[in-house]
Amino acid sequence: MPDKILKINNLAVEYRNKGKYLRVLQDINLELDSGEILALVGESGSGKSTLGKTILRLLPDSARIAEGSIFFKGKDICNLSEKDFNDQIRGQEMAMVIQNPQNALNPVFKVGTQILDVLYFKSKKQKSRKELKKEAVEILKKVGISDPEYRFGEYPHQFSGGMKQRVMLAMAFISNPSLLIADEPTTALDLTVEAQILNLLSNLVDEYKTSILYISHDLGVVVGLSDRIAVMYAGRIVEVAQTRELFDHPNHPYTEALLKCLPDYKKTEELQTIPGQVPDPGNYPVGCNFHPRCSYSFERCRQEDPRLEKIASEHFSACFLNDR
Amino acid sequence: MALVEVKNLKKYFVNNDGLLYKLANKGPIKVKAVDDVSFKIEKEDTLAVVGESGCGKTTVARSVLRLIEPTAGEILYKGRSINNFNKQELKAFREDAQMILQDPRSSLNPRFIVEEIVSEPLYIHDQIKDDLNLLDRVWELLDLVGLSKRYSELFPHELSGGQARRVGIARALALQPEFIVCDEPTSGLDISIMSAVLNLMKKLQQEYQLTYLWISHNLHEVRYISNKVAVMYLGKIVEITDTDTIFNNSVHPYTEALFSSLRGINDNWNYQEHEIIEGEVPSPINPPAGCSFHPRCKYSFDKCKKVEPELKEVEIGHLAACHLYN
Repeated sequence: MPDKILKINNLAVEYRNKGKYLRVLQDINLELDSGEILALVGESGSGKSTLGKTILRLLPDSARIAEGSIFFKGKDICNLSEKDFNDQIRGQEMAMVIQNPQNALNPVFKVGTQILDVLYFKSKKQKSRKELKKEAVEILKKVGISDPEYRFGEYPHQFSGGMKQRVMLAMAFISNPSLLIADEPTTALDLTVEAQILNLLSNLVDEYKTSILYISHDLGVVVGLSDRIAVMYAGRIVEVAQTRELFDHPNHPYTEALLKCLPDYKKTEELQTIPGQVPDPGNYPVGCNFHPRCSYSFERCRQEDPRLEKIASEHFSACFLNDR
Repeated sequence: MALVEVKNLKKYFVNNDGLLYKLANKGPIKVKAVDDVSFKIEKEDTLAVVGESGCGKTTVARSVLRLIEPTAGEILYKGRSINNFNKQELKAFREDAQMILQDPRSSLNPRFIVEEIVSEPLYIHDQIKDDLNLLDRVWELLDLVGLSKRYSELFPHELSGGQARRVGIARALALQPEFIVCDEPTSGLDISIMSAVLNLMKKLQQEYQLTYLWISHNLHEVRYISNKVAVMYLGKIVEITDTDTIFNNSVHPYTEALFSSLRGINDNWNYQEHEIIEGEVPSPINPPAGCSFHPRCKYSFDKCKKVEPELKEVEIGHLAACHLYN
């Protein structure tokens, strides 16, 4: 059995709002093998980005981990001091690529300078920036930027969105991280450029054997990228399965409904809709969070919280229908 | 007679302000946002315009309603040229032709409540008989888009993205138009809300015999909603035909490339073995000579670099601009 790179046990995260704590993540249990791409999908407000930030400890001061633990390579990272976490893990073992590459690069520094910074700190300030320049150009070339020598001296606004995201990927992979958290890295990009970036990402993963937690709302993207998928709804993980298994045999009513909502070029039947709204964080219904919108809900759903349980090999679902 | 006919539409944005430009004496910068685009939309049809960002699809949408003045070309609505409309005629035209804007939130006035937003077109076009009936009409419109009466008293910031979108649709329907320009009406919406909006638009089309010009970059959605598709690249239409043909028998290499990035959830595929198209869309300020797609095209030959291909019929009702087919 391959080692687990990341293990999350019973995690719950709360945000402080007007003196009260609102629970935005509840009962999160998740494992990630090394070299695996796990997609975290859900609608806006489901807590998927919060989970990504929790793992990298990037939550704002108003948030706290209320319960549970996160183990990274067997080490409990929740109790690490901020300094240790920064020195050992963040940017070294774990990296992140965010949604909007425009905001992630500093507009007043040349792209090359920003890559040199990462290399400089990676070398523990031992090598001079001059020595590292060749390495930096090599990296630009590797992520498919044409004319890297020239591009090295340009500013972020001279790069297109797709090129900026390539630079972000390059910077994330410099330290050869074991875990990359990608928070909707292609949402702002065009179709053909999106395909290019995801192709690059797949190849980098193959080369570096990095695990990826890929956060997305687009099921059409993750189907071609991920090994496994975890579906989130209202702060909980409702279903985890192998990618193909999830699409062919969805178990949870939410997953099933979501797939029927998705316009697909091969689909001819009427699109379904899910009645109602995603509940606000902190205002979740009693019982299963999905029951007010679920067409199968029965008495028990209104009273108890379903837990994520194994229903087949490598397929977990949190629904009482499976107990019936 | 087609409901809407666009003939050789051109829209160039020219920038010659700025002291530095004048000092450098480089001459004005010309962006050919839309360059010689022609198409027809028949009544009750949905023409989808697809393409990557910067290809000019939103500029086409705005020109068709004369929200921006075209540089050249003619737009016919019910056989009459809207370019020469005077103020009154234009106002009458705007009663018939409405638009759903791309950003659901910023297209609603933050100081108006929903009732005021939805009834504003009625005020502008003098269609109010008395105030009591007005509220009924607003409720009726909100009901049409699936919002209950209580929403009429809310401000836009109190609405979710999907609700704000529905208010935008209700406002567009207020004057009972025949023609609606929809500029990416589902972008930024969650899957479940997106499907609700798509179903709503389809239902409204059948009920009120609406005609749509549908701007989108989501090909799955285009398949679902439209019966004609125009593919744009750098300000030009490269292929235009009915939806079934474009999904099954497209001929232009750009269409082929665009649709090759299309995969369904039921297909077995992954990004690693995925055939991808190299490069990015060039800048419209300085487009390549000849066919503007040739630097990215795997079939390109000598002629493509020099001669610009014309949009020609490859079979009945199927036009493409590519030298491979001439």
